[in-house]
Amino acid sequence: MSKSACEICDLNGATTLKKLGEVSSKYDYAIALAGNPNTGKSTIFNALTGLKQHTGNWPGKTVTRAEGSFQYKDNKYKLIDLPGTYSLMSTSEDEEVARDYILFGKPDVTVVVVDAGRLERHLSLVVQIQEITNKVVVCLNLMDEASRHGVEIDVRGLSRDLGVPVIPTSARRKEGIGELLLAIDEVATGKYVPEQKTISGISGESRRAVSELSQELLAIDAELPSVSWISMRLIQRDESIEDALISGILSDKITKEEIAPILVKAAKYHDKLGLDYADNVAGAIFGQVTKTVKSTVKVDAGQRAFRIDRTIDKLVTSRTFGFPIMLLLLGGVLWLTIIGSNYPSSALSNLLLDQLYPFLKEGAIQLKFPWWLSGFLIDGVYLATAWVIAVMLPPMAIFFPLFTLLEDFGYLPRVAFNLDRLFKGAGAHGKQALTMSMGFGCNAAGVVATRIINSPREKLIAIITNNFSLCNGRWPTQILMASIFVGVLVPNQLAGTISTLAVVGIVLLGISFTFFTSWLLSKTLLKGESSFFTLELPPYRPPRVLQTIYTSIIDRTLIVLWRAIVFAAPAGAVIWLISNVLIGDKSIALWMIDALDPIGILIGLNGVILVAYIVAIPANEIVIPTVLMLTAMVLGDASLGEGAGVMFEVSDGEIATILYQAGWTTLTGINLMLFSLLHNPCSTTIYTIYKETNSAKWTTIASLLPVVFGVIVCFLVTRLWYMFT
Amino acid sequence: MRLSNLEKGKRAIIKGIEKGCSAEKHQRFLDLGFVPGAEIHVHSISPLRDPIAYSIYNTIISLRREDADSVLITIDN
Ligand SMILES: Nc1nc2c(ncn2[C@@H]2O[C@H](COP(=O)(O)OP(=O)(O)OP(=O)(O)O)[C@@H](O)[C@H]2O)c(=O)[nH]1
Ligand SMILES: [Mg+2]
Repeated sequence: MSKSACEICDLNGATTLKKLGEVSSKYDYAIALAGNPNTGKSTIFNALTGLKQHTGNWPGKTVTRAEGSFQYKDNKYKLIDLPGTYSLMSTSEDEEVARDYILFGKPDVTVVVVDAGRLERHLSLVVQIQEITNKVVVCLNLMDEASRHGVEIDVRGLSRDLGVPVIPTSARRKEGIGELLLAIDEVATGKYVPEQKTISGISGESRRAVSELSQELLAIDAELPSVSWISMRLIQRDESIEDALISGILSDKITKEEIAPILVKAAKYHDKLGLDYADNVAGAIFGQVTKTVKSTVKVDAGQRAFRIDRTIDKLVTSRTFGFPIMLLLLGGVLWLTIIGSNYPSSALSNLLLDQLYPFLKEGAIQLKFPWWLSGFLIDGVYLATAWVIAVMLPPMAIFFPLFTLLEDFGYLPRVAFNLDRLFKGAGAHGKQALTMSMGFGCNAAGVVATRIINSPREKLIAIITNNFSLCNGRWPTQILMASIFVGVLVPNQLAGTISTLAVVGIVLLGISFTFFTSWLLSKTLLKGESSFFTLELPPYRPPRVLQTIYTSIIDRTLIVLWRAIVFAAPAGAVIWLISNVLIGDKSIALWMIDALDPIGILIGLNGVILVAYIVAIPANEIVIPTVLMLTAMVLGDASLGEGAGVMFEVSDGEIATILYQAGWTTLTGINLMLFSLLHNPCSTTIYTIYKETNSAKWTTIASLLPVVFGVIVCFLVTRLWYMFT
Repeated sequence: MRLSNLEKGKRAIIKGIEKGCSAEKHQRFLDLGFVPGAEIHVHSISPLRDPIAYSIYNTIISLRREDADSVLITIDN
């Protein structure tokens, strides 16, 4: 779709759009963005509000409601981005969020975002929403993709047929946004009144049942929203709706006594009409939609784009290549991340530690800071922060864009498709593959993503095992240990490859633990039937490489880095304090290290590592700087640092020298890699788990189980190691 | 005939959802477009033979074998 003259002209609506970001003040109209999963709702939300909701090419990317605002002409609008939903009858947790808002949030306009290339499916939601409200605007998104697929749409005819404004857009290129705004404005302000529609083709008996119940409901509360829908659900005996009516959540005018006879009547209809009722409604909806599509859409089925999709799927899900391709992509992403971050990491550490650090120290002397203040601020807070930036920023700046490219291309759901059989064998849900993949970025995000799993049992399994996805915060530890202790075992040219393989090995071990733990849980604490699994495989979408790199660095990398810094600064302070505050003749840190050393040694680690993991509960990112600072302190060698708890060398060679001096061996390095995979989640993740499960018991289990595994595995590895060396 | 028996390369028409399955599952099928009269064919089979991805109403939806068992079809000629 090329830009029309109207789109670039000054009178174009988009020029009067003011993105206001988050909702801050009063607004005149509330606009809901509804639609099937993966149609570009969040992309439109971002275009209108200037906010940065995550988008991605798989159904279920958005799982909670997000709000933002914008001004258009003289009015302020609140915009609500909803999770995707296939229908208003759905009952999964994320879809319910959308459903409830559409039904009971009373938005002034509901914008239904549909995929122009898949109208038969997506219009069925439009029809259902029209049954509730006439204030509907249909946003015909993904027009660029539709025309690539040879789909031609008679937009005017469609609008006439549906009786609502239909606006073609390509949200990713921001085309059609101006027209969309204009339509929203006209419907919101009442300048354009869309038609009131009802679904045709529902049998007389079903219709009568609905209208009878609706009338009785309206008699006890004339303002009850979405009555015909409520009646439909009552006939289908939706318990959550029955409860909402009885308890007065849906309407405070309705009393228990008044509603009881209506429920009885609904139950009678249920028995009489039975499952045929649901079939009848769905059949009518799809029948009506098919008719509309037949008269307004032309498809050239022989299109190349379709064939390309089929060919790619044949390859990535094939018996022979499906799994090797997955491994190759995983290894490739890790390899690029590890190799690629080498140089920028050392450049950053040179700048922040070799150049800026002495400069700051000098400045503190000039300003006559007392030793403890300059120690606390510069050796503690500054050094830890600088460290985290130097080791975290480069791998994240490489990993996130690569991951996002795969995600936008549409590969992730194929991983879920390939792995489902294994998850089923472990008693878990196939969509756990998606939440597991999200975990490689951040476990807290992975835990939130589990809302796409309907069954509470399988959702819990996914939550508890998410920590076995090696999150980004733990990568620096893995990469450093792999290059110092594993890479050195082979000739120089091979070091990079072997270190990468070691990290890939850890990631794969994590995945095996995911399967093993899922299986264990489903055989013991979380026994139960496997639930209904459906997964939509979205079309492949060529990612926009430059934009992806830009947004994933700006939105994701910097946010995660900021979090790391927020935790690193106070941790640096704590490390400096425990290293410098003495109790008796020893610093607090030394007391702790000495106390934990025997346990540490027993499992092939040491006291320093265990103390580091205690200090680093807030964020995994700071484990390595903590380990190094404490090691420098223990060694107490002035040539290594600037006194107790100060550590500023970052070149691998120097770190290696220090660690070997402190008694580390290849075993310590390998065990640290294992322990970094298998230990408690960070505090943010623990908190997220609590919010998602609402249960102290499951939060405790999710937090402790990995530590137990970690201790056992490290212990066994240590025993084996000594048996053979 | 059941959807799980549908061979690759053949087209089928959905007859309905088996009566025995739970109301929730039944509804979910309907929401996804598994309504009588809909055209369906196999898009791809996962490396471990299960699940299978079907193309229905222009979208690709994958189902596990035991779930596909609940969908009744006839072969379209
Ligand atoms: N080619 C093309 N791609 C688009 C367009 N709009 C969105 N996309 C892409 O489609 C994918 C889905 O977009 P999202 O905005 O995350 O979709 P959503 O409707 O919010 O999805 P859920 O939150 O899962 O319901 C992303 O990869 C977008 O970049 C468009 O107009 N054209
Ligand atoms: Mg979204």
